[in-house]
Amino acid sequence: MEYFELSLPSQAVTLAAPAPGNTTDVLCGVVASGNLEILVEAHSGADVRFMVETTADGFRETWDAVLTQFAGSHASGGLTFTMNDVGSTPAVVALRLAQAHESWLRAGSRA
Amino acid sequence: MTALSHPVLPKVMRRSFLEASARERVLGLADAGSLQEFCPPAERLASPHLATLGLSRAFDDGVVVGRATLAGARVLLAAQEGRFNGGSVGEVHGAKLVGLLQGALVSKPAAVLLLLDSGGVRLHEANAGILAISEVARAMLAVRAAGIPLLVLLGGSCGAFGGMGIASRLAHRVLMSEEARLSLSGPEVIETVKGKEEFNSRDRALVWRITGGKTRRALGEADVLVEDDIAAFRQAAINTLAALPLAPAADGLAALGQVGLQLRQQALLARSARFAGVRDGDAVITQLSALSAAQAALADATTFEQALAAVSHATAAPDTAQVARRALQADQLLDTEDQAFADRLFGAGSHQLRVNGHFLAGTAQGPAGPLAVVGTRDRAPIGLTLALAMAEAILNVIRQDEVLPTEARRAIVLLADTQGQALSRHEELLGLNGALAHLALCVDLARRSGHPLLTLVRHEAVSGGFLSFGMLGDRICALPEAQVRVMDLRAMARVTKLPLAQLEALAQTSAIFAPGAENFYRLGGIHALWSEQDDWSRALADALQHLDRDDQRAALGAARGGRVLAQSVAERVCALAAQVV
Repeated sequence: MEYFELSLPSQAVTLAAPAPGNTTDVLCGVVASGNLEILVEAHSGADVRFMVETTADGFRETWDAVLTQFAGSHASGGLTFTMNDVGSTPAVVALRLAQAHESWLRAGSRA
Repeated sequence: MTALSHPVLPKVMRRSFLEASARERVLGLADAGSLQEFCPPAERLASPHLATLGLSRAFDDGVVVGRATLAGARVLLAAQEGRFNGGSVGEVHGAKLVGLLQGALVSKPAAVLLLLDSGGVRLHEANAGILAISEVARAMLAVRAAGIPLLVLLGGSCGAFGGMGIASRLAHRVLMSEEARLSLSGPEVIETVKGKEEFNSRDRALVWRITGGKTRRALGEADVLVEDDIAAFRQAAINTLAALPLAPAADGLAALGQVGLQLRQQALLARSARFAGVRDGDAVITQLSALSAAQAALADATTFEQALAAVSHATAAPDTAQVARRALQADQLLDTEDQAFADRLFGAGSHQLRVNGHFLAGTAQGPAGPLAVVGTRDRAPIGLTLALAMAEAILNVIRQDEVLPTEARRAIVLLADTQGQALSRHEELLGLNGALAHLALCVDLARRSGHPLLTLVRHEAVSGGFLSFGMLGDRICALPEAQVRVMDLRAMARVTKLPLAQLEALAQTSAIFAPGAENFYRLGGIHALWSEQDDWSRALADALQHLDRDDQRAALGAARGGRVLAQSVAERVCALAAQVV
């Protein structure tokens, strides 16, 4: 089990937080083998923050590459992505992050 | 002649219940936009015990609980996430379910819907898990008795096994897809213990013929067969609630009373006699429906329901049920060991106990009046016959004391000595989980009829067997030799793939998963430990003076420091579920 946090620059996310009680909209994925869950929350800073708990030890470089790529391609400054991971491949992580980001925007647009 | 002779209707917009996550299921089931989750993922009610073992956690501990509307009616609902640790029940997961059910007693919703998808106890926190399932069962019984419609929906890949297989059958109705399974022991467990000839767990078709939705529906262990489609589950839930008779007298299903339970007892006995020795679901389905095995396998839910309705459900001839009934009588004298035990407990000459194999029943003179005694002996494996024997004995006690005022009705001493449920393909096929749920309903009826319930654990109290009667006591005491457990540490190490040494080291400080009556005492699952030096007659008198009519075990576990989350999490969810908005 490995835990790390990472803060990266990213363009500010454009939409406000979803209404309280609608948190089901900002959880993505399931904690299961080869999968992960991502919880999206707002914070007051300008950076995008990642808090990762993963069962696969020793893949920090790969994580950094995937998360840096995501921060560059998705305007997510002001968001925290907290993850519970059970050995997802980089492709699955990238996909879930994109889904989580999209869910946040969708929820925010309704709020 | 072309190969395409069958025009297949396009399954437009069908969303598989099986493939959906727990959240997707509740969102699809409830009216659009009506779901409000209690203690949502952002509150991070994850399991501290998984973290201790270095295992991954989920923000919601694998269960969604909340309120919503269903066709405009106010409902409370829960959904287990089968993909997270097999939907298994740990301390927090179970407490969320308990809180939801307890809240329902206050807010009285139009229904409580439980979307179960669980292999049973989470072995990484085994003791807390089985206690949580026991508390869920107690809370379900309370909701049921309050006349609040309680539905269980099964459509996930884990189905409902172990303690959740028993709990499922405590609901008023079970709605189930063909793809889901409902049983007690998993095929792998039976194969490991009894061999491949008994149950080949790799034969998937066989597994579904024993435990799958169609066999369960044919037997009446499930009430409605539903297509694997979220919208179909939603519609089935709406239809089922509309048709549910709520008057207790109707068919006894709102608060299954004495008459209802006696009828069910007869039906279960007749079913046991009718399908004696049957080991394959095909034989059940072909006898109970107008379909051949091949037709049944291909039938969709509607066709299958029609085929069941086309056959009149004749029960077995009364004389067959009489033969089966004889196996339920305890009529043999005690052996010397049991005699000495009973003498020490009740006093020599103050008891009339009889046995029949592993079954024990009778009467005794207690410190403050007569007692009824019902239980198991000699580390009994609890199968259909033993479960029905105990249910029959409890129903008899209720019937005998019916004429007495409530406060004069006898206390029932539940003697628990069981190695767990019997492991057999035949018993699984006939719904051992359902028979154990029936036993639990009988025990609960005794409580609600005014009979105080005292459980004494003698040698062993293991998993499903203990869950269905012993754990329902108003007070549970363990005798000095008592071994209470879900699974021993070696087996747990195999299943959880954690090193035995790590588990042994943790067992020194944590009561959460290691076997032993002392651990269950610390968690609040055992009220008192009796020692060899104690005067058991006095201890018995004392125990009968200290009965909890409501389930106080979570509070006890918190006070003793062994189970610190169960009570607080249940209270948090309960406070939210109790509100009417």
